[in-house]
Amino acid sequence: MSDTAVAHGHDHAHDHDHDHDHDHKPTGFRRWFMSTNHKDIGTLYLIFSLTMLFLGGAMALVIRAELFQPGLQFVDPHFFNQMTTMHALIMVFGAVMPGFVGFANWMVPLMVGAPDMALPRMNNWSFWILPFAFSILLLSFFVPGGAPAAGWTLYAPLTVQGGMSVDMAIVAIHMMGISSIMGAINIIVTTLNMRAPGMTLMKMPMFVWTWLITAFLLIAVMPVFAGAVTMLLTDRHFGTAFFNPAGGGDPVLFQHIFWFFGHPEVYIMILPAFGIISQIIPTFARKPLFGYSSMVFATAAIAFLSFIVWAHHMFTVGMPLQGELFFMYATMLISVPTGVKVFNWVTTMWRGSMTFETPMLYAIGVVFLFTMGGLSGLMLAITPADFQYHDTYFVVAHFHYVLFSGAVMAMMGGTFYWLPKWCGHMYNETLGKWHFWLTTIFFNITFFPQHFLGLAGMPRRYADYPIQFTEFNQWSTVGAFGLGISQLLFVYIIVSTVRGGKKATTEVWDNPEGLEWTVPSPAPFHTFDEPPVVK
Amino acid sequence: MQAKKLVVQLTLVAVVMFGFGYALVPLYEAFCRITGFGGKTDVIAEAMAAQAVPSDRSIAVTYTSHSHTSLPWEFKPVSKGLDVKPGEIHEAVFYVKNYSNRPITGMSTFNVTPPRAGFHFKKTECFCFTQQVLQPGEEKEMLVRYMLDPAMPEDVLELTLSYTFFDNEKYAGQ
Ligand code: HEM
Ligand SMILES: [Cu+2]
Repeated sequence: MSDTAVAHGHDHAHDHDHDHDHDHKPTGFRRWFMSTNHKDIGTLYLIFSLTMLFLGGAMALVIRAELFQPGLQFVDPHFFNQMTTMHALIMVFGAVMPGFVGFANWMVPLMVGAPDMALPRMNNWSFWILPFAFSILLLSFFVPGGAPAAGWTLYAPLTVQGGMSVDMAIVAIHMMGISSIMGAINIIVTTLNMRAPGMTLMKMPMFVWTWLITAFLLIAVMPVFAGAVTMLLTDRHFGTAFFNPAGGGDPVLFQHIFWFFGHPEVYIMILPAFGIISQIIPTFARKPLFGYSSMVFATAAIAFLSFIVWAHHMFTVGMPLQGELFFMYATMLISVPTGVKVFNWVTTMWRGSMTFETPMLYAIGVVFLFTMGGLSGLMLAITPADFQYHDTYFVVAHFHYVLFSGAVMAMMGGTFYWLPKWCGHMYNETLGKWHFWLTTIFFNITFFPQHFLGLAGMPRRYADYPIQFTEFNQWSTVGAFGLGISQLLFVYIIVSTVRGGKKATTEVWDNPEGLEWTVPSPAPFHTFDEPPVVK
Repeated sequence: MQAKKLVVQLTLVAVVMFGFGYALVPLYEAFCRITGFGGKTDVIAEAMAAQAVPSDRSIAVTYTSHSHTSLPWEFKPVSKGLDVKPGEIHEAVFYVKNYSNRPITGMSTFNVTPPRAGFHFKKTECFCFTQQVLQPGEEKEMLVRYMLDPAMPEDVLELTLSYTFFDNEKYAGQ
């Protein structure tokens, strides 16, 4: 299979592009729509992800605008609920997951010394399904009743009743699922079969390890989610009664199946971020990653444990005491391997000759802020405490600390880290640092007050609130608009760096480790046609 | 080829996991039935219930009932409940009336709280085992025969037996 990847690149040889001397690549429609090149597909994924980030971000700003004051100002509650639902679906399945797949496409072959992904045709399919899936999801705004409004968790029995938008969301979810599963298979086959001679599993870069494990999680749980929404669909239209109590179904069963997928899913969104951080920190601390093998085992342990903690999202549904206790302790157990990782990152920095270029600022920011999210998670894992915090803004604060300042900021750091390799130019360091500080400060202004709101009892997913919550909500809204506007700077930096700027060297940074730093910048269209040898 | 084999295996895993999602349905059902988690009640034969040795403590049993908003039925217990000695067989009677001008098929879900008492709530007969069809304006009384298992945990001093009737037209005849 690996030879097909190489042979395929040469199919396009008749479409010469003379910009790069010995680089044959097709142009225009053929290059982008029929691409089988891992770098081009990686770029497509990253652009798609950034587009979705802005779309989902715009919806978040509608939510925050409405919550600036108590009472109803801009939108009616039903539209508000559509916003919270669609914001989450777009961010989870459109921004974070495809973003990481984009990083994997670009970096996994470069890091393991492979000429391309193992299954380039399938790679093209995995990507091009996504724009169609999201078009269907977004078109649901225009059907009677509007977009899905039952929350991204799509809980039955509410979704057994919703309008046709629920069916559109189900179709879109099936397409996204197929895309993710194909992407995951591709990554596993690439890492297991196409590593350069000498690169044993325990010599693989951490980013590749985290993605390998993530890919297994994807294959294990995306089909379960597909099953859950299929049952929902047949309950809605074909007379089954999996979740519909009228026919003897059980709505709580939906929650169990959803979270059996849902909790591993949150680790799907964070493990690749751990991988990126583990690449960046050693480079700028100028020390190898501390405890490499414990990092690998911690990642595997987290992945394993993620299958047995799902009901911590359901402490309040009325589980028996033994169940509550089991899921409480199992959840707390996850903080052990997570703590190992944080410890290793900090120890890698310890006594290193650190410098603070933008990627490093992001990495440190992620370690710090993600850990705060982990701590609020630990609070939520305490069953009796969760009876108070469940479905309040405290949960919203928790998952934005792990998902925005964990996953999304890791991707931003990764972008600054590898952008010079991708496009051959250095970004403007001053602007990069501005972007980091604006993002971090506005992020905290947005989400830190939400901890207090949640502790004081403000429930999530409502368009209105009692007046005593006003002040913290106003902080949050101001922060959100600042955070949104700061991302225009991100786009400006990327576009201007792609267009021009100081030439990047092959190594880009100060003696970084990894095969990706042995190919020229920008990375040529074809790399590692001859596999490198790893000592 | 090695890669092809791996692709086939991984695809197979995905297909199996899709099936596993469905397998969770009977697994969950069996898990709740065996452990009594979630307040599922147990069913036993009348002859078995008759053999139980009544104990002398008593437990306050309360009956509650609802008719789902989609169902134009009145549905209520004839008595609010009573004190029950574990090991004795009792009957609860529920009254139901169809206020609409069309025949409707309904079916009731049931539940016991506290959930840990569910497993020890043994029914020998219940109107909730089957669909109920009521003609326009029809009213009737329906029966539940049950026994509290003498093995009921000592700290259960009272429990609630609850029913909710749903419109079951969509599933009529199943
Ligand atoms: C130390 C690790 C973590 C612990 C102990 C933890 C614990 C929890 C608990 C108990 C809840 C349920 C709260 C409730 O609904 O009442 C929750 C919700 C959530 N967590 Fe975490 N968590 C951890 C890490 C993460 C990570 C790494 C992510 C994602 C990257 C994440 C994403 C979420 C999301 C999205 C929700 C809310 C889901 C929803 O209801 O919509 N968590 N977490
Ligand atoms: Cu979870």
